[in-house]
Amino acid sequence: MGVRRTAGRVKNPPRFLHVAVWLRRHPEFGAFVGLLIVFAGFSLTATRFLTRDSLASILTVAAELGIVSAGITFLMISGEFDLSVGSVLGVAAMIFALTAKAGWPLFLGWILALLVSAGIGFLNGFITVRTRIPSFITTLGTMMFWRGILLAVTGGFPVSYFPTATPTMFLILNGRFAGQFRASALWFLGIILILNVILVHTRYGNAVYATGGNRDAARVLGVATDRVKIINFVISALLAGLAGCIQFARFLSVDPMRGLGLELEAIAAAVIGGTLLTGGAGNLIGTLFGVLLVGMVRSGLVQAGAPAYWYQAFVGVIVVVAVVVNTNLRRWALK
Amino acid sequence: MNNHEPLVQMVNISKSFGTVQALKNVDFDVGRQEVMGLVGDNGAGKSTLIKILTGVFPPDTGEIYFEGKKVEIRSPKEARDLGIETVYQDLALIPLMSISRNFFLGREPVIRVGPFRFMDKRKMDVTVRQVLSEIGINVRSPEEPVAILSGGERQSVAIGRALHFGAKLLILDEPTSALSVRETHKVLDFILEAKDRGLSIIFITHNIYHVYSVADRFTILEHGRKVATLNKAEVSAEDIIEIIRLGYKEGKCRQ
Amino acid sequence: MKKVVLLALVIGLASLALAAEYTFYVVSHGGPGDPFWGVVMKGMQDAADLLSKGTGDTIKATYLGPAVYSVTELVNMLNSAIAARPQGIVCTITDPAALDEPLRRAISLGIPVIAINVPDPRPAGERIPYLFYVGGDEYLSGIKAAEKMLAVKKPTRAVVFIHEVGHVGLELRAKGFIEVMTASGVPAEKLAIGIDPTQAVDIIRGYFAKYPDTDAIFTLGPIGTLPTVTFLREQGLAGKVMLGCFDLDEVTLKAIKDGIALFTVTQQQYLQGYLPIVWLYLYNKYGFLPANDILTGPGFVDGSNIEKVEELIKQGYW
Repeated sequence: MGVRRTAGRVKNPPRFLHVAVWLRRHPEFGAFVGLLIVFAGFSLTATRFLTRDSLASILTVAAELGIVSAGITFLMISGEFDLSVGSVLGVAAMIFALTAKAGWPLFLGWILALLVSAGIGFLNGFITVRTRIPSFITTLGTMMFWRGILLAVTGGFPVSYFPTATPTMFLILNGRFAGQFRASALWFLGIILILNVILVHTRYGNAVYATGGNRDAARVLGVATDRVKIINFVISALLAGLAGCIQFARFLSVDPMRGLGLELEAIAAAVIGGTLLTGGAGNLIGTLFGVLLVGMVRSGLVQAGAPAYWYQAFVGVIVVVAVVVNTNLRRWALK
Repeated sequence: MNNHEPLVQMVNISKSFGTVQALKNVDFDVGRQEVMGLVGDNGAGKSTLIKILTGVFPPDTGEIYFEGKKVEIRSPKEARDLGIETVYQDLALIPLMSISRNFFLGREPVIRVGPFRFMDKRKMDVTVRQVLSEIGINVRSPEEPVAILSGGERQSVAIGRALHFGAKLLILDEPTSALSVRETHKVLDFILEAKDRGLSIIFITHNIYHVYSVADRFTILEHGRKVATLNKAEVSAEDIIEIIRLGYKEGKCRQ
Repeated sequence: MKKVVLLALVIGLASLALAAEYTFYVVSHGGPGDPFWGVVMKGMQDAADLLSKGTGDTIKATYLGPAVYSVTELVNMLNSAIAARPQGIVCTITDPAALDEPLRRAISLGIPVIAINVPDPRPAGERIPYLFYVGGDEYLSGIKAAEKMLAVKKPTRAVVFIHEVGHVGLELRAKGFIEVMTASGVPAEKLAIGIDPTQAVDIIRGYFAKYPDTDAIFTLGPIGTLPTVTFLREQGLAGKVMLGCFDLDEVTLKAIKDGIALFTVTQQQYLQGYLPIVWLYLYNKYGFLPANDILTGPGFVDGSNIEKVEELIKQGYW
């Protein structure tokens, strides 16, 4: 059990050494395989699953979840959680809606929504880093706080905005093209790409991995771990706010329950994609696969005719199976 | 070839935390290309002394001289810039990250593409391969996670890293305590090699036999005071153990 | 002349002595900031003002509701109301178990209690012995909604979009609807769509891909209406699919005006504030009691009254 590497000799390597090495460097592979299996499964059992409209619809769901999940992934890799993303999404959407209704230029309303989101993220990070309270707890608190603010400000009622013609700003955020595809997918893919490049190919990304892998060691080696964490909290909240505005651009109405429960789905997608709950490992490509998988499951279940009340159960099973498979794959690869 | 001027000299260092006096009037120096064993029982003040040297906090009194010049070390970064590197037991490398990333953490080489800077992975790869082969560690790729390395290999990589980045003084905190016999010897060999390549080393440990085999001199601390600086020629390992165990006066008398 | 003045004095003093003062409390789980309950408050206040002006008695009505939903707060407020020994309490039976003890205590102290908005679902012998209930009937709402649709045209297939599975009120609405549809030979079922509109649209789309002949939808609240209306608009199905909604919000109203939705069910909550005050007065003064619960819902808003209702919403009546 276990390999002890000593100079010059490699003892008892796993049978497929090359595979193990490759797997070690690509933790998103498990999610990819899962995605293929789910895709194949539904393609066979649900007749209209493979149509362009169906896939476009899944991508639309994945895009909004994915933008949030991308931010959370980045933060989780540096060793922290953000449970407030759902509330931030709601707050941002509400700000966007209220400013639009009040006659503000949409671009300004959008910027304000993003600034407030970033501010909430900064607060989350600052409190976590200064008080050394686990971010799970601090963001649990801010999640409830901002949801409460949302309810108090709106009195529980939705806010709607009906422009006479679809404004350009809304088209940029979430307009349709090529049939049922939406701009949100482009935002999503762009964000995944940019964040992944930063994570994997820059010094900052190295600092993120180090901060999550072992904060004290990173500190000793000169990494500004507090700054890294605060920046990542801002990114997480900012992206959640962006997702809220993108969603509003399509639906034109926001209720104070918007985004409720989103945080757990976003974290689940990241974990399915190979990001460790304990931090220090994962990447955005894995999150891409995880989000597509989660987006595909519910859609596929409906189209396959599964009983409606079984979705929650199925999604739960898939999350657990995915994590177990990923963990075992990782353990095997490290032997 | 030992230069007679010490590399680092700490003069009359005192430090208190509230009512507890951690260090009192301690003089401590390390020569060039020298392995200095810093020993003493728990609470003697070893870690406080090192933290002052590495910039974690300043001394209450006393001065530090590095390469003959008076310096004030206000942060770990300043210590690193001077060429003082520390290898703590579990804090040297991050297991989930690759050897390559660990090696260059905080000092990654970059390629510029327009206004953006990306890590030069190819350069990192080539360098780490070379260093690993020099140390004698055989891995398929520097992209492998540090987790696949044994404890001794990790220590060696950390030492190799300090060497590569031109450290002048390397502080090793309990480098051999979790290692097997064979691994311990490899690490000790590497320490001697590092010394040959121009490094000075402060070796902090409770295992007198380990440090005895590689050190040139020993500094013994007791209750915040320095009680002895001894050349290897003057004492045996057992002597040092006795001094620590019984306290300086008694231990010395028993020699 | 002296006799006339004396008579007038006696009558005047007598009527002063006879002019009674009534204090009623309305304790509810709805917060003061919620526009829905704002309408209830207006009903309550209008009734009190109208009665005071019309009868010469003084009727005072006070609304108590926690800012954030909390059963504990509700019980606290109720206890404060009881301590004030009013002539009547109006209460939403949001949590029958928690409200059982305080309300029974109030009733034993001789304070009449009327339930509004949410009844105690337990049978007559077990439930809190309030006088009667004023409010909507969820199950009946579903039934009436289905009947209204069937009156327009018998659909090929009907579906209820439920956005909060397990919510008792929503489940009852769905049940009534499905039972009537099924009895008329229309295949009908529930579809759980959740509260996120993007995911909901995808689920709806998937359902329609599987059952393209679906032509009747019943949503159970604005959270369900939003994705449904968006879906119908985006797919160009507006007008081809019958849509019945629940509750009033801007999206629902616009859908009715644009002809996308046939109607929306309301519980006319103004009456839930208005009628109990009137009845408490009549009960206290003359001992009158209605023979049954008073159902304020289902009421319907559709093309025939939408404009009037919109105007009244602005004035706070709907």
